[in-house]
Order: sequence, then structure tokens, then C-alpha cells
Amino acid sequence: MKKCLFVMFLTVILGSLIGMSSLAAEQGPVKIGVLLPLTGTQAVMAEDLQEGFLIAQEQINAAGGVLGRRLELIIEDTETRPTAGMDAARKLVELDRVPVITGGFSSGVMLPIAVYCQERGILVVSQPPTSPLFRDVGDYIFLVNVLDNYKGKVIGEFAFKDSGLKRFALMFMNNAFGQALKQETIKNLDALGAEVVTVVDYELNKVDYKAELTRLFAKDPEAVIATFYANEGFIAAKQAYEMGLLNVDEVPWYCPEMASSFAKALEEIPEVVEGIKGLNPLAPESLFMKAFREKKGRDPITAYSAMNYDALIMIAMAINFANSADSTAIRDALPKISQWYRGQSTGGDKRFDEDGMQGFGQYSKVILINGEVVPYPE
Amino acid sequence: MTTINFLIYLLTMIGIYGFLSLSLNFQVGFTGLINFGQVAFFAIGAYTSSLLVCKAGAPVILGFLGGMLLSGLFGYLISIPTKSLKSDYWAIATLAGGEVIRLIALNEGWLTEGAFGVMRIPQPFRALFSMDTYPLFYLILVLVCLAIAYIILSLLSNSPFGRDLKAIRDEEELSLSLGKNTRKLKIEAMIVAGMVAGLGGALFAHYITYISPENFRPIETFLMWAMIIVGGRGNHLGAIVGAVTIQLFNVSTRFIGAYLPFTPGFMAALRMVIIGMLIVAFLVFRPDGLVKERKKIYRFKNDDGEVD
Repeated sequence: MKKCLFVMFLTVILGSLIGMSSLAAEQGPVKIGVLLPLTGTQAVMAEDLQEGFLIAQEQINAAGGVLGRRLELIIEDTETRPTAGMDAARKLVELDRVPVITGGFSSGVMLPIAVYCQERGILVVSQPPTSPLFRDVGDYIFLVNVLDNYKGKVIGEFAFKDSGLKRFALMFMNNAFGQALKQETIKNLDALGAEVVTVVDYELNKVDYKAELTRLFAKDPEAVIATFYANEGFIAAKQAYEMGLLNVDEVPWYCPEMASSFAKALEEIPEVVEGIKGLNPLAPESLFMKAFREKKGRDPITAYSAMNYDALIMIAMAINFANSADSTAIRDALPKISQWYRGQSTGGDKRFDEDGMQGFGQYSKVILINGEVVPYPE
Repeated sequence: MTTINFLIYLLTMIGIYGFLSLSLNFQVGFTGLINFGQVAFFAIGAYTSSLLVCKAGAPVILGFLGGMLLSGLFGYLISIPTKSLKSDYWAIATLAGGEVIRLIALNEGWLTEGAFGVMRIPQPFRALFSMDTYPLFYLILVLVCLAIAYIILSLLSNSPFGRDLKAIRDEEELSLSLGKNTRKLKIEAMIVAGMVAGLGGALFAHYITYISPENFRPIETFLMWAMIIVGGRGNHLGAIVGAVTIQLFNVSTRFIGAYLPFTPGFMAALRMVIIGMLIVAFLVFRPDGLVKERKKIYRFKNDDGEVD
């Protein structure tokens, strides 16, 4: 009986594997593969990341779809785990036969997938993974977020010139994104003649950052540059405030990724994060923000949802421009599309450079006042 | 064609997890050593092999051997505290051991590339095959290695050494009273298990060609435990059946979702719930797993010729 069950289980799986792949039809909807961290350590942001794609999909299909066909998203969970992410990507490419994969969140999950897709000639238009390693993967890989060398330069200059101070303490998360950003920030602060007195790398998903905050302030810095995700930003801001370390009149705080870092803190403890300055990839008054607020009744907790929106719109435009849903044709059309497209994130300029990275996008300078992200007057 | 590619990928990953569940089963099912840091062997095997090949320029075969050796060495180191720690406290120590290895990989950037990970790990004999045939070659490589590991572990567990290990698992005081050096036996078991899992790690790294500390979170250990709980402890076939079942289950949920009226987010969360429930169900209703351990019963005749 039990053996029987096991064999049935196997048959169902194999059957569905074969069934899925024979469904590929020319006249059906155009399928796009979407990877999202629906479970696992980054799942907090998954809903908003997904919403970026869904809003774009609704608008595309309302406007007639692509190639006269409907645009369909096949959403797969990466579990924020590289091996599960690879399962998902292989399923999308080998069974659903999608020409394009978009989404993704951490570099650790997306890099092996990018290498695999490059080898198979599948287009990847990904957002947050900003690890510098993506530049060398190949010509099928495009990113819609600006790389850390840009952000590192701008936040360094902004913090240095705006504060007029010399001694900086840095706090970045210990993943590919945080570390690349940290290296670039240090490099640019050094070039400006500022002194980096402390560098704190913190682990994500902790419930207590008191030890890290104590170390951050151990050498009496004059200013702080720190970046977070929504949960970590909330905990760190709250604890720093309780410890008397978050007082921007004494020691100003600068943040290279404002919307993502303090989205939760802005909701829960707006008075604590009042006066923190930084960079934001997302214009608060953009069309995407309006659409998001209309649908969800709140602001997104991560600016990356707007980048997902941009990614899907550009993919759809490239498919129509190429008049084909073939990976290589879409890849060739994508840089041209990016010349014309006015995006909703990183200042709207989504042009790719020769490596498929964002060469020209900008983050705007913002400050947190009364629980709102408002433009910071230069 | 692409469907076959997916099946080859699936089988290769099952094979790689097969090493890890075989190894964990050898510790838990045969020796009674509760290891919650199994992922450490996986990480050491993967990192040692890829760093030897990428940074020191060693041939891949040396990388594999290096991965096995260093992983075995870690097995030796982690089993030293078994002398002074009771098994449940030792289990907690192994959990910490697994995290320590991951944190070393994350923070010693000069050696391991830190959070960026090691990229472009070379694949053995890659030049001899085309893009379409290479995965099949690698699958065969994994399965051959797995078969060798399986046979060696079977021979070991049927030898006097294996019986000593089972004696430790069932009644450590008894084997002590028989004059067995249980500490030495445990260390030897951990070294063997470490080498098997280390080879799995090395095969994984050269298959995916990119590794980062993200690959070696404690959740991986949880999956390996799920494999031996579902498959059955104390026999090698059970470990393999467990690896097959859990991997297939993980992937199959991605297909079932297409036929159910749930959002992808809900399906993803549901999958986690089902895996948890599956483990609980097995522990309650079928604690021996899918494949039950066959225990040999020894009967002796006493002086009067009666069977005891």
C-alpha cells in the first residue's frame, strides 16, 4: 500500500513534468518568468516586489498586451535560497520555456541563475542584485537598478559636503549589496579627504543591534552613513534612539537607500527617524506611486517594486519592438527601448550601458520630515 | 529535450543531496550522534574544492580530494567535545559549529571572497562535452561517486566497526563495559561522515559553478534532517529514498500550484507548512521512515541446546 502510494506520487510528478512542457503554444499568452523571495529571510518585501510586476502587467494587458497576445507572468518562489532559486529558474526555462526571467532579490540567489541563463541564451532583466560581479556575466544579463559604485560616490559626496564634517562611521549589511556599497563609499570618502573611523558589518534578520550600534559610536564619529532593509532599519533606529545615539542635530545620519531602509520606521516611529537624510531611487510623486497607493492604500515598503515595474514595462516594449518573443531578439531591442523609456525609478533614466548595467540613473536627495520622505533642497 | 534537461538537473541535485543524507544518516542513524550542523561539511567541501581550484590553480580532482580531507578533519574537530558533552549538548554545539563555518566564509573575504561568493568555478572535463551532453556526464559522475560512497558505507556498517557504532547508538554504557573505546569510534564515524558530505559539497560547487555563504544557511541542515526522517534512519537505502522524496516533493509543489486557485505567495507559504506537517506526520505515524531498518537478531544456544 505504501509502496503503491509512493509510485503514484512519482507518476503524478513525472506526468505533470511532461504535461507542462507540451503545453507550449504559439498563439497562447506570452509568458514571462518572475522570481520572487516569497518565503525565507527576504519574504517581508515579497508582496510589494510582486505588486510592481502586477501593476505593470495590468497596464500592459489593458493596453492590448504584447504582440497582440496577453502577457502572462509565471511567478516562482526562490525561498531566498540559492538552490531553491535554481530549481525555480530551471523550471521556468526548461519546462515553461520562458524567453525572459525577471525579478530576483539577493545576489547570492541571482548570480548562479544569471550564469545559467547566459549559457542557455535566456534573457535576464533583474533588479536589486547590484553585486559588481553581474557586469561580467555576459550579454544576456541586464540590471534595472544602478550599481553601487554610483551610489557610493553620491552618498559619500552628499554626506561630506552637506555635513561639512570629517569623521565618519559606517554601518552596512553583510551581503553582496551592502559590502559592494560599503567599499565604494569608503573609497569615495577617502578621495574626498574624510576619515572613516569605524566600519560595522551587520548580519540581517537579527532582533537586536545594540552591540553593533555601540561599536558604531565607539570612536566618537561626527557623522554616520548606514543602510538597512525595512525590518533592520526599524530595529536599529529604535534602539539607537533609546541608546541616545540617534540625534541628528549632534551626529547627522545619512542613508544611501532611504525608502527601503526606513519604510517601516516611518510608519511606526516617524519622530525617531526625523531629520535623517539620504538618497532615494523612487520619486514620491511618480505615477507608479499613485497606482500603488490606489491599489494598496499605502506606500510600498521597498523602492524596488518600482524597479520591477520598470523592468516588466521595458520587457513588454522590447517584445513589441522586436516583434518577437525570442530571447535574442528581445535582448537586441532592450537597449534601444531603454533610450526612449521614461522610468518610474532612479530618476526615470533607465538607459543601459554596454554591459547591460544602469549607466545613467540617479537617486534623488531626500530628508525624512513628519513621517514623510520629502525632497531635500540642495 | 528541455524536459529531459530538467530531469537531469533534478536527478543531479538529488544525487548531491544523497551524499548529505547518507552522511547524516551514518552519524544519526548508525552512531546516534545528533548533528545539527551538517551543513558545515557541505560548506567546507564546496569552499575547499572551489578555492583550491580557483585560487591555487589545482586540478579539479585535487580539489575534490582536498574538500573531502578538510571536511573529514572538521568531522574530527567537531567530535572532540563528544567526550565531555552529553549528546544533547553536543547537538547544540554542532548547530553553532555549522554557523561558525558559514560566518568564516562570510567574513574572511581575503580567502573566501566574503559575501560576493566564489564565481566561475571550473567544471571537470568540461571541454570534452557540448552544452547539452555535459549535464548528462555530470549526472553520471555524481551517481558513480554516490554509488561508491554507498558501497563503502554499506561495507563499513556491516563490518565489526559498524556493529560497534550501532552498539554505541543503542547502549553506550554497554559497549564501554565491553571495553570498546567509544570515543575513538565516534571520532572515526564523524571523519567518515565528514568525507562523504564533503565530496557532496565539492560536487555541488563544481556543478552550479558559483557558491556564496547564502548557500549554507541552517535551513539546509533542516532539509537533510527531513530527508532521513522521511526516508528512515539506520539504513543507507532510507537516506537515499529520503533525498529523492524530499527533493521531488519540493519541486512538485511548483507544478501543483498551477492547478490550484491560490496566489503564488500563498502557495509558497503552504509548501513550507506541508513540509513541516509531513515531518510531524512521519514522526508520529511512521517513526521508522519509508524504509525501516532491518535489525539482525542473534540467537544463541545455551549449554542445554535451547534457544535463548
